[in-house]
Amino acid sequence: MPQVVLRVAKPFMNIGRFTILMSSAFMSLRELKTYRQNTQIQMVRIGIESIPIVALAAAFSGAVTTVQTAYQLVSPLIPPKIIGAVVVPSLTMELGAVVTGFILSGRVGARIAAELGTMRVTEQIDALEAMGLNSIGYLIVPRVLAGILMVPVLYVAACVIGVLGGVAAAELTGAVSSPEFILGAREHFDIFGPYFGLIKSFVFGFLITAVSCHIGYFTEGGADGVGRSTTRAAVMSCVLILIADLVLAILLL
Amino acid sequence: MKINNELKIGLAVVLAGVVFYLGIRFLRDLPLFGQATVYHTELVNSNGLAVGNAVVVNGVGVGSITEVRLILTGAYITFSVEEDVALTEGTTASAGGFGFVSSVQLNLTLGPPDAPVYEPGSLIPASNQSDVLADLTDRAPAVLGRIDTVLTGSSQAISAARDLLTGPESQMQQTLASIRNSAGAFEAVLLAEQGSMQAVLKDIEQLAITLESFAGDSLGGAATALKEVLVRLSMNLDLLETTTVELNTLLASINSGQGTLGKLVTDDSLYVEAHAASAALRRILENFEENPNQYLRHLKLIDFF
Amino acid sequence: MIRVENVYKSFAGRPVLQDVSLTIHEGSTQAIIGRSGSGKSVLMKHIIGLLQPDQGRVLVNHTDIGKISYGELRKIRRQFGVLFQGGALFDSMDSFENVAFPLRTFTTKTDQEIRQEVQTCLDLVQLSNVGSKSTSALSGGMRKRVALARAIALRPRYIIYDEPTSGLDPETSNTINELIKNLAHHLEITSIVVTHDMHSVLQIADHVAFIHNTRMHWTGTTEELHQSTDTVLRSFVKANEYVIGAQH
Repeated sequence: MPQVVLRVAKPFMNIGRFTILMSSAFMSLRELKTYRQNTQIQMVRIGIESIPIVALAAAFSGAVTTVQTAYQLVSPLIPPKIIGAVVVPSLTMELGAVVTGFILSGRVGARIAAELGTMRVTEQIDALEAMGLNSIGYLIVPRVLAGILMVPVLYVAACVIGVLGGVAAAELTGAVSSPEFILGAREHFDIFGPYFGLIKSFVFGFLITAVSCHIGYFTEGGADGVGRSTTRAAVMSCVLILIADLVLAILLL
Repeated sequence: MKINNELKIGLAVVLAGVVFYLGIRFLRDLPLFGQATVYHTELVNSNGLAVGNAVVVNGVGVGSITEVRLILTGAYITFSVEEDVALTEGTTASAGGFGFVSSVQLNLTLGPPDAPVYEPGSLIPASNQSDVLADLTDRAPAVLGRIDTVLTGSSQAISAARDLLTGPESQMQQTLASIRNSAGAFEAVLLAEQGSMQAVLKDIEQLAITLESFAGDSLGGAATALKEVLVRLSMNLDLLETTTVELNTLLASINSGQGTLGKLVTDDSLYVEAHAASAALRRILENFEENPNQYLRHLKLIDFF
Repeated sequence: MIRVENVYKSFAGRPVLQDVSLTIHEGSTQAIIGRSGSGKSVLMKHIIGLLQPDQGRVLVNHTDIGKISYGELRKIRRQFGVLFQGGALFDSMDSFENVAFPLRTFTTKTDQEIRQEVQTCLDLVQLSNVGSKSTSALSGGMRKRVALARAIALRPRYIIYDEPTSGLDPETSNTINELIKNLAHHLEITSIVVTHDMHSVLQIADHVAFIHNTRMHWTGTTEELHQSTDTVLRSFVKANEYVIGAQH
């Protein structure tokens, strides 16, 4: 094939390969019993072990949003409780999911790509297959499942900790008292916000793990290839999160 | 290792679920545990109340709205309040809190504290205050109808009197007496109506003030319509006043024997006509006094809005 | 019996195997030799269905493995043990778990039985106390032996060795060669050895297939190899003997 045609066709080939990989993963769900333990391990690695860093990022996001909202509220006509009404939906609808997603792109996406990439170049994936194991089922299903199941958990943690960070920042800077902050949040609370965030976190959880698995699983070219895959996985996860964020907002809001 | 993982994941998932549930309840201002008591209310206009908006008693948040449904006669609102808030009979609900900064809320005005408490799930009546438009709908046609009828009556009286005075009449004494009778009856009706009109007008003024205190967008159209009604009303009243003044002048001039009275005395046929006219006027006035609703019935507010 | 029939394979338009045929008899030790990049590893991957031929077919026990479902293929693969070039030990597990992995995955044995079985396998490869060692703490030879223990854990019918002695010092190579011979004898395994190490071939193989320039250049027994007058084969063997000589 000429070089130009290859260039144009490459993204489509990647999407095709990704789709085939994911449908294979889906097909091997019926053997889930075999991969149960692996799924547990991945849930701990992707979910539990990410809690500290997600919590840290969420607390700071909440605090920064609070301080900046307070800074932008210059009109004496606007009551300070509005800060709560701005910060809480920002966290539940956007920051909670997206900050978690970005953190996980780096932490989980890169890790998955590095793990699977190394397994590919050291023939561990071939070894699994040669043993008669379904490598997609064994390696990819647990990771994607763990992502889908655990990222929403992290999202909830991020929201709660983010709100607490916001309240703390409000109290510390004296912008608004915490009861007023909560009052504002309650008055303008929209029940759809948390569900929207939850939907996002499911989607992000799938995207991060699935794309990183895809990139890692098809790593080529030794240690160098593993490095490339790692970077690509982190970058692709971030980009896809941004795109999915917009698409979901357009579709659901 | 294996059990440890299961425990970690289990704890995290359960904790997240619980926190998500409690967080939403917290932000919706529902009691964290246990069932909140649910009530319903029907508002003619929900003023943009939405699920999650606060339910407020004396300015204190006690619950939130769980459902807003459109019904033919307005909006059917389901809301929950904390268990320890007793909604006694006599409690009314209204939508309030318009504006850009504060959000819409459902205000509850509690009934007397010693009254029996509403059963959970009962329908809390909407308060009158919130029903500005319904109020107006009830009262405006009555006001306008009465005024219009009065005006019709007075114009007829005046034209009859005019006819009477411009035609020559031989039997002067009779004519004059007849006119005096008619005019006297008319004046009596006018006086009586003026009293009730005054009261109705005050009512409308009060309504307008109440209405003006609501600045929500949803009321804009209604407010404009109301203004039109009031303008029309004042125009009619002006006309009435002028007519009455005119009539009085006419009667005064007849009494003093001036003007066209000479002609009036010389024509026989006109006397008959004048007599008939004054009889007709009397009939109308009598009919109106006896049965004013008949004139008012067809004057629905919808015609004016 | 494994039969490779007229297999063609190319990657991105470049042929790697052209019209390759080979029959491996039950109970024999078949060496596949050739220069690096001659396509012998690719042939090996065709035998266990990791790669599908562009043309031709591969029969394992008379079953065309290109025409069966993935599930069936995986069942057939369980009759194979494969020793990969670098060992391909799972670095997420320690040595013991690596050997125990196929047993845990494909058998319903209890922990106690698995422990015994793993110990037997480790004894067979003459490693007794590496169980809890992390795989990264093992030397090259030990890695291969742990990988070999893992490959035989399920008592496979066929075992494939991919460059079993590459990267090892001659003494360790000899140990590995001894092991391969012993296992073939002890477990009655059909062995397929992919290598360019003639020393190894002469020690362990009874049949040899020589792949040259993507084609099956020569096949025969080890005795026939000694008497062969094929110049390409002779120069390949000679070059190897020179290397072996230099190593000693």
